[in-house]
Amino acid sequence: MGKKVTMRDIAKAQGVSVVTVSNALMGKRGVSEELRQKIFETAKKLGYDISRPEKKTEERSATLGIISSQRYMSEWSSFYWEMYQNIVSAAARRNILTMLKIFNEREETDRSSAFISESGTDGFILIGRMRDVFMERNLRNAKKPAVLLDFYQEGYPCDAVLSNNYMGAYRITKYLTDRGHREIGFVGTGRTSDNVVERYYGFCRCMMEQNLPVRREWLLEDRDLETETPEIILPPKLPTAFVCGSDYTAGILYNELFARGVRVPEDISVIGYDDYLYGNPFAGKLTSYHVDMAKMAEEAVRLVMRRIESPGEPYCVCYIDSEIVERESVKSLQAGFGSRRL
Amino acid sequence: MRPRKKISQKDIAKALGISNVSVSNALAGRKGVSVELTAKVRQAAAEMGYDAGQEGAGKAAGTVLIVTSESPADGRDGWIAEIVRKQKVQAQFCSLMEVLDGTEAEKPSNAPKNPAGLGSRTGNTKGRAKGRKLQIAGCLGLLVPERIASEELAALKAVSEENGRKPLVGIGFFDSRVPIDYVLDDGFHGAQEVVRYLSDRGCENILYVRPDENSPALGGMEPYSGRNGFALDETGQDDLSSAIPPGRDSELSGGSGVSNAVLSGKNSVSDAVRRMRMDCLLGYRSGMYLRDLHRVQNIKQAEAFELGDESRILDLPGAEAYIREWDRAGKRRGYVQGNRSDERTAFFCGDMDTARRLTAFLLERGIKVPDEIAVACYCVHKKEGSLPVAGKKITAVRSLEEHLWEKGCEIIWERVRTGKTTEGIHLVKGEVLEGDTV
Repeated sequence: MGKKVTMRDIAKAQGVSVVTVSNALMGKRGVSEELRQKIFETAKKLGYDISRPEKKTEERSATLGIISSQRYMSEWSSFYWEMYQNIVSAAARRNILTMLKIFNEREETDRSSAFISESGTDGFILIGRMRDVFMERNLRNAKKPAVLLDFYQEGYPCDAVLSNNYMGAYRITKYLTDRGHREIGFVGTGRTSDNVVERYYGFCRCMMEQNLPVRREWLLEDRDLETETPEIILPPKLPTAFVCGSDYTAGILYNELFARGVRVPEDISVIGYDDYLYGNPFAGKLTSYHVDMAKMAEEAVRLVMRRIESPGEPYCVCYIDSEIVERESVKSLQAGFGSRRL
Repeated sequence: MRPRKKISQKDIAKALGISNVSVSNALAGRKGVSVELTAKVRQAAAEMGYDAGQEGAGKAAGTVLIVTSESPADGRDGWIAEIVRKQKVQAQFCSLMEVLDGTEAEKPSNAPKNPAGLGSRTGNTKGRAKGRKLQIAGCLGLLVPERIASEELAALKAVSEENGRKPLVGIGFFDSRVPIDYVLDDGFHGAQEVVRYLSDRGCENILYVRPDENSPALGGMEPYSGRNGFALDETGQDDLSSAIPPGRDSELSGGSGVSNAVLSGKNSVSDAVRRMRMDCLLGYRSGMYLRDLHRVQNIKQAEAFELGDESRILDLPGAEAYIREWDRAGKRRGYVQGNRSDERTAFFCGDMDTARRLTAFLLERGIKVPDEIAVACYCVHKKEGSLPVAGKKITAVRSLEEHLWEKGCEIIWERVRTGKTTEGIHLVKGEVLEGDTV
């Protein structure tokens, strides 16, 4: 057996750099068609095995496509960007390459889009709910495994990873009732997020358990029905505490309360969900339920890899629980509460 | 309940005068051991009564302590031990007293004092203390299969932390005051799934039937103990008599939702049962809301959350009355003639017992199930097996307790393996059991 032909040999023969040879053989851009052809011929002539190009880097276990919508990944909203970073880290730890594709409105609803089946990836992670059209087009008969992150849609052959909406909201409401609150409201718009709906019901569950009434006037939306601009209309009589469907909502609520001269937590307590509030003076004060993005991302990567390796596994939905990060936005209504844990 | 000594690979190695590694490789059929030696090892194993299943074939063997409030009860242990064994661990039962007393006796200054509610029933604790402490240190983790008082659970957590940071997992309950791992069945999403299932099969009119609070065996799952976990949770006290100031019974019970019966310890509704009822009901409401939401645009929040729509939530007598009315109003005939499947009525029952009773009622009246009215439920069972009603199996989304135990062991393995300590609530989903009633 002769010495194995390497890319270096081809490069030398062709009079180009190794990088160029690599790009040419891998089908990457940056090499003119003409040159690519020449390199292929040279390779064949020298007896280079094209089917298994050299891998100078460590063996990659897989390539994952990460999909999201421009609605979530625009410049000002960073939650899903951070989620994306967490996925990349989790993937990198397992030596998995990731590719990001952000769909704009047109592409998302484009009937001819078949990104999932055509790209050279082994599996997908979708961050955030995509339009029904997109789901139908790409996931109904998916040939490659996909994992839904931070949302769930029944009827598709996919695993899903979500934060523990129902029990998390139950816990933050319990946090309030454990500190003596009995008049509690909920702020959040269920219409736009299924996750918020689940959190509302977690809130309800705690209220039911404590036999506290859920009052209609204390169920507030965080945006205007028609224009979708952030807006909270505070009722004339306020409860002693509000559970917020997300920290983003809590921020808007805080602004409204501030404008009304209502102090947090002296006059009213507020507890949030996400532990992710930026650009608002309330951020350092808000007690909130932490969403463990690192763990969610880890789980998503694990699930998609599991399915790549053994396609027949039963589908599962994972709810990732975390903890409440205590800051200063909740006042205890009980004297001498101190020793109680959350 | 100590297990008898099992033959380990170490014993075989000793007997043959070879290394543990060789024995392990030989039994696993790995390379590096000659054919002759492999045969010798296998023969020795058979002769000595080595059971490969005991050592988990590759996974580290270990013991998991199952901590109960009283001495281990009868019958229940058998099937739990069985499930746990499938996860390649040995189950060891012990009582809370034993585990806590073990460390208590160690500290001389702590002798007479016990946390509220715990009496030291054991006599010679000194002699036992050593044994128990070692046992905790030697186990993989602890599982608690039933609700115990918060203070006791916290004490248990302290003990497990001190003895090597052992993972502690609660199965079937949740205590907001003690941050450990909990495994619960997912009644909320299970109920959502039932609503979806019914909707997908043309049931527009879905009514929820609440389970009877006092029915003892809900879906085959018996309450574990008569302890009034829920009352404890409500009042935050573990000694109820001190929680009721003189002359203020009704105020306390009215405000916190705890009835006098509960306070006096007469109510035997277990924690799990109560939780399931709530989760199911909320799952039903959220399921219906989400269904409407995805059809209608601009639905107003408060009305969509169905705050006031209690008309769709019935108890069993109410459901029966509904059916009589439905029958009397000629709906039945109308349905059959017009065959408008989009108006099919369905009853979603909060547990199997209610579903069976309702189905029996329907069939008695000659109403066709599922053709005219559909019935489904969410339930939690100990294990597989269902009881059909007049030959009809009830369609259900069912969670198995077995899966909760599996998850508990999985969590322990995970913690042992990665050393991570994130605690949380783990929801275990149920699965759809296709039956004959939808």
